[in-house]
Amino acid sequence: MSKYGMVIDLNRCTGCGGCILACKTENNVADGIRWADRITETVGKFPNVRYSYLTTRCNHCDNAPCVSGCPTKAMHKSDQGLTLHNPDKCIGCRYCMARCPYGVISFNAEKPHSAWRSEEAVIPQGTAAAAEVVARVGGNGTPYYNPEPEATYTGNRPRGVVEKCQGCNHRLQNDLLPYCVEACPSRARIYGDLTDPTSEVSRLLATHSPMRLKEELGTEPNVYYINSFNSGEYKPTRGGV
Amino acid sequence: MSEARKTLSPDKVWTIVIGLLFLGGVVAAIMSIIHGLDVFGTSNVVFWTLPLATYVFFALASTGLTMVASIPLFLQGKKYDRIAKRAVYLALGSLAAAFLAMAVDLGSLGHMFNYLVSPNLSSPLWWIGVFYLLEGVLLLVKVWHIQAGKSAGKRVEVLALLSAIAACATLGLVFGSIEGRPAYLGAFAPVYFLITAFLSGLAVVVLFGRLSQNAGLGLQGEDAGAYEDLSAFMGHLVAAVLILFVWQTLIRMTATSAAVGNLNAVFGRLSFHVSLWLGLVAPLVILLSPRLRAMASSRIAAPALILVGLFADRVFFVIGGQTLPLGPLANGLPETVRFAATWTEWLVVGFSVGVMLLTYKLGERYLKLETSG
Repeated sequence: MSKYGMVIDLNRCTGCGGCILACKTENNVADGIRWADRITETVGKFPNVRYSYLTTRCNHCDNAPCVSGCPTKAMHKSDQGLTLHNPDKCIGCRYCMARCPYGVISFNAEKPHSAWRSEEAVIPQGTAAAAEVVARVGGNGTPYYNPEPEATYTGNRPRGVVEKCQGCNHRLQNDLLPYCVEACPSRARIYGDLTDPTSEVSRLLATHSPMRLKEELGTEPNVYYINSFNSGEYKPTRGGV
Repeated sequence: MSEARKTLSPDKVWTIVIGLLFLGGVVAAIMSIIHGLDVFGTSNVVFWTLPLATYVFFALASTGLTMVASIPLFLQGKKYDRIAKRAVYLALGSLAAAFLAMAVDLGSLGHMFNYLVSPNLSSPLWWIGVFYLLEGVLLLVKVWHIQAGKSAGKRVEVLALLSAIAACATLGLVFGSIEGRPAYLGAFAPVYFLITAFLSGLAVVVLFGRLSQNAGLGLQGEDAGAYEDLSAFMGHLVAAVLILFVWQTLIRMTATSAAVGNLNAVFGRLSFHVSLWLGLVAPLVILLSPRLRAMASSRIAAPALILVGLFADRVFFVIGGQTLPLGPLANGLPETVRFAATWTEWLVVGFSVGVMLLTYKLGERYLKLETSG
C-alpha cells in the first residue's frame, strides 16, 4: 500500500501563491478559508530586513492529533495515509482545530460563498448581481463551482462543520497529482509515494536534509521541506566587536 | 408605577428574571440558526468562545455539586443530608445548563447520533459524553429516591461520585492533552479542574442555601451549623485555589515561549483580574474576617463572588489557550489576539444562569428536602 507524501523545495518556491489559488478553485474553498496557505515572517530592522515565506498545507500526519481527538471519527486516516474529513459525521465541536498544531483546519461558521448570494448589482444598472451570475452559469454556490471533489468529499462544505485539505483525494483516485502540485509554476511541490524507494520524493529525501514543521510534537508530518532559500551573499569575515 | 413595583412579590421577580434570561437564550439560538456561529464571535483563530467557557463552568460546577452531595458518604450523622439533597438537584440543573450552552454552540447538533454510532475511544471528548451521561443518570436516580423519601444506596452514591470525578478530570484532559497549545498547561489542567470544580460546587450550594435562608425557607438548627462548616471549608479551598492560581500565573509569566503565556497575555486581560481579585482575594478576605463573615450580605456575597471569579477563570483558561494564532493563521495578526465577547454570547451565559435559577426554584418548591434518607 502506498503512502503519499510531499516534498517542498523552498529554493524553487517563489511565493507566488499559485498553490493557494489553485487549491481554492479546485476544491470550492470558501472566502476566509485556505487549505493551501503560507506562513510569512519579517525579521530584523531596516536596512537589514529579511522576509520569509513558507508555503503550507495539511501535513497529513501519521500521528494526527485531529484524528485521535475527533469524538465521532469524522477525522480519519485513509489507507494511503491521507488525513480525511467526513462532514456527515462532523458535529462541529472544533476539537480538531484545537488539537491541530499547524492551524490548517477551518470552521464554517456561516454558509459558504455568501458573497455569491448577493442579489444587489455590483454596479447598479451596469452589472448583474452575483446571485444572477451563479444562476445563469448554473453553478453551485459559485459560478466557478468544480463538481469533481464530490467524488470523495462534499463539493461545498455546509455551515457548522470544519473542513481541511483532503490531499486532492478525488484526483489521486484518477492517478492525477494534487492540484496545488500540478499548478505550481516553479515545480516547488513534488508529490509521490514515500514507501516506494524509487519515487521522486524518496530520492529527494535521501539526497537532501529535509525539515518538517514542529517535529518535536511527534505528529510525524508527511510534508517535507528541502533547500531552505537564502538570497544573502557576504564576503568572508570574522565579524567584529 | 411605584404602586405596581410595590405589588411585585419575590416569586414574581424570580419569574420575570428567569423568563427574561430564557427569552435571551431563545433569541441567541434563533440568531445562531439564522446567521450561523458568527454571532458567537467564532473565528478560525478563536473558535471556542463564551458559550464553550459557559459549558465548562457549569459542567464543572455540576461535578463539584455531585461531590458535595457525596459528603454524607464520608461523615457520620445526618447533619449534611439536606445540603446533599439540595446539591443533587442543583447538580442536575447545572448539568442541564452546561449542555444547553454547548448545544447552542455546536455546529451540527443534528449529527450528534454519530457520538453513539461512530465512537472514537481515543478521544477524551468522547469520554466526556460518557461520564457526564452516567453522572446525569445517577443524579436522576438520586432525585427519584429523594422524592420517594428513600436512600439511593451506597452503590449509587459511590458511582455518582466516581463518575463526577472522572468527568471533571477528563474535561481537564480535553484541554491538557492538546500538546500544540501549551497554554492549556498539560497535566496541571485535570488537577486544577478537579479542585476548582469542588470549590464551585461548594459555592453554588452555599449561595443557594443562603438565598433559601433569606427567603425564610430553611437553615434552622443543624442546617445552620452545616452551612457554617461548609463556608469555613470553602474558605480553606479558596486559599488552596489561590495558591494554584498563583502557580499557574507564575508559569505563564516566566515562560520563555509565547505559546505558554507572557506578561501581556496574563495581566492584559480583564478575566484574569476578575478571577484573581473578585473571585479569590475578595472572598478570602470576607471568609477570614469574623466581622465580615457574620454579616448576612457577606454570606451571600462570598459564594457569589467565588462563582463570578470562577466563571472569569474558565473564560481566561478556555479563550486564553487560543489567543496565540498558529501557523498560517498568524499572518497579519499580532502575536496574541484580543477577544471581545458579542452580546449574543452573553445571552447564552444568561440562558444557562436562568436554567440554574429555574432549577433552584423548582427544587425548593417541589422536592422533598425535609425528609431524611
